[in-house]
Amino acid sequence: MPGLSGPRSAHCKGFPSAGSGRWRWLPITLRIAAIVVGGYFAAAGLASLAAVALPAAGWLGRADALVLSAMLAFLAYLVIALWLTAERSLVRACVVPSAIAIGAFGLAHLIAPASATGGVLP
Amino acid sequence: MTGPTFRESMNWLHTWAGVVIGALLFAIFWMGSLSVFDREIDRWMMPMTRVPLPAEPARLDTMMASIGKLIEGTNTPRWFAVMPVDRATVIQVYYRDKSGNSQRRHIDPAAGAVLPDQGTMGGTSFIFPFHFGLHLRAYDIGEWLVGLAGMTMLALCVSGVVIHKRIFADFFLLRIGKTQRTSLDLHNVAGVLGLPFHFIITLSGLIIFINTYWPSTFAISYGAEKRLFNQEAYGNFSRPAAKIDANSPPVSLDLLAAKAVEIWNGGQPGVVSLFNPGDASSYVSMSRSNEDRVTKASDPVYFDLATGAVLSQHKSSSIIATERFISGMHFIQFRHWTLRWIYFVLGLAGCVIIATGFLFWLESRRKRHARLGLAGVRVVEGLTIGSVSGIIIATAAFLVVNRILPLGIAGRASVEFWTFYAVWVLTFAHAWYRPNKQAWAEQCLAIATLFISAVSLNAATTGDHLLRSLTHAYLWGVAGVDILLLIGAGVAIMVARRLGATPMYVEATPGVAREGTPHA
Repeated sequence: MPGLSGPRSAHCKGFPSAGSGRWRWLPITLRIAAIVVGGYFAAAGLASLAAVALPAAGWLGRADALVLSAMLAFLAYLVIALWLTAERSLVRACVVPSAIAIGAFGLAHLIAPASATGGVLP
Repeated sequence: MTGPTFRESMNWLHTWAGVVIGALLFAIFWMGSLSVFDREIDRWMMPMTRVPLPAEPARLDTMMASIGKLIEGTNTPRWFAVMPVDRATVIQVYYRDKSGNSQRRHIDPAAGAVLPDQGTMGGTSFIFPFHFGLHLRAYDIGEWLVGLAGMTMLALCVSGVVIHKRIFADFFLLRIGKTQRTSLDLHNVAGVLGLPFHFIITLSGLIIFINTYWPSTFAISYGAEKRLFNQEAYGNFSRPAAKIDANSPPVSLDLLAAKAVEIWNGGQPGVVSLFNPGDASSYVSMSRSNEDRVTKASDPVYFDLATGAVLSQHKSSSIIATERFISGMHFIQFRHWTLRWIYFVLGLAGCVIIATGFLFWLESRRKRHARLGLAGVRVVEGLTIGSVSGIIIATAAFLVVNRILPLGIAGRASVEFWTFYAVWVLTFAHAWYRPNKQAWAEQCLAIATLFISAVSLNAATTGDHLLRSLTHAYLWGVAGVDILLLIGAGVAIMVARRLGATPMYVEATPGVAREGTPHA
């Protein structure tokens, strides 16, 4: 295995952003936080947006939209988490899910009143 | 400098997520596999409920009279009764006692008489809730941990496929002899074979708890009107108590059941609930039994108890029906013995994947950690032994103590409960205290001893030994538990003997250790 020598590097193989020195725990902590917490809120934000946007657009009833979004949210979380693991830039891995979460929750809150009235469909 | 490739980062994820979450995941898979037979475990642990299903089961009105006596003096806002099926031939009743605690009692399906408290949580109240909530109820912390483990399992399934270079070729590869290779080959074979099941069972398990795991989505969509969601999605109906005693005798539950059967085109009632008992606004809900179909949809019909009028009835929309079907696939309340056994075997295959994953992690690091003086292998090994053989010992102890404690002593169920945890803690202590090989071997012998004791105690205390239980169809559930315990004991003895007879860890050169392995 070229380019990998010594036990540390062998065991950090695949570690997306290995740090060094005093702060070497920081990148890994940030990365795990991005995957677990950032990924979760990004998925929750997208699900919330879909749960209010679908009824607001008149495509689905409120309960149907909510259950469909919540079911798909697990798959969204999975895809986002895997991407955050593979993403080479730690900055992007932290910023993008936060931006998705803030943007999606913000939009969802704006749309929510419209969805509550559009909730009962024939 | 280039970063790691996609496959390398998936390898990193698979290795470390597996080691960190593996112990929790094993507990969930173990308890989930046992939950496939939770009703049978109930019969095993509650000997008085081992009764044949009568040809002519007790009328619902007889049952209601028995329950009326049972709840006398309590303020229970509701009781519900689960109708008998061949896996659980007694009627199960749930209500709140004088102190407001949830209680469960069983009713003889032939005579309608309430059986004494069985003094155990059994399979349905200990093993099954452990599977999804770890009995950590504060802030739903148990459910959240299980959710985290579930999401991790999905990530492990995907990353496992990505890092596996030769899925087809490795399918025919099982190198027995060296722990490291055997465990990797077993991990791969069981992993690939079980992959569709493990992915779907995990995802469906998560989907059952959508309202726990996505509270913000529920909050933004329905706000504080949770009840409205349950009404729109599942047809839940409720009305407050009138606070006046009922002034007319209740209509016959059997008549209401007949009406419900008509509405369901022949479907049978599975759960009968009665709300506000004794009150003028008392009402009944009938949920359709799902013994004959996969879905968990209950198509509830609500009746006014004073007049018998239908208050509400419900049929799921297509999306809700999809969600109920997915949940039903996970719950397997339908009647299908072949599928039930397949669920059980594939569930145990999940346990094997997790355990062999741990073994591979340990064996590929053992020498290097010893050379560098790192504690990793020692710590993970203790964790592995305690969480794999340890939880099996604790489960066995739970069964054994159930057959030792006499019925009727105070706090019997909680003695069983705490025995499980005390024994589990002891197995971790033992695993860290003893050298690895002895720890595994001794715990395997403990499993065998306890399993055989459980079978013997069942025969001694109930008289339902295998000769008897196998020749009476209504005791087959009990026989099944006994047989699985004996098979388990046999496997445990084999493993213990093998560990005693051969050196478990063959010295391998680093080059050999890495050959053909996806893990670095």
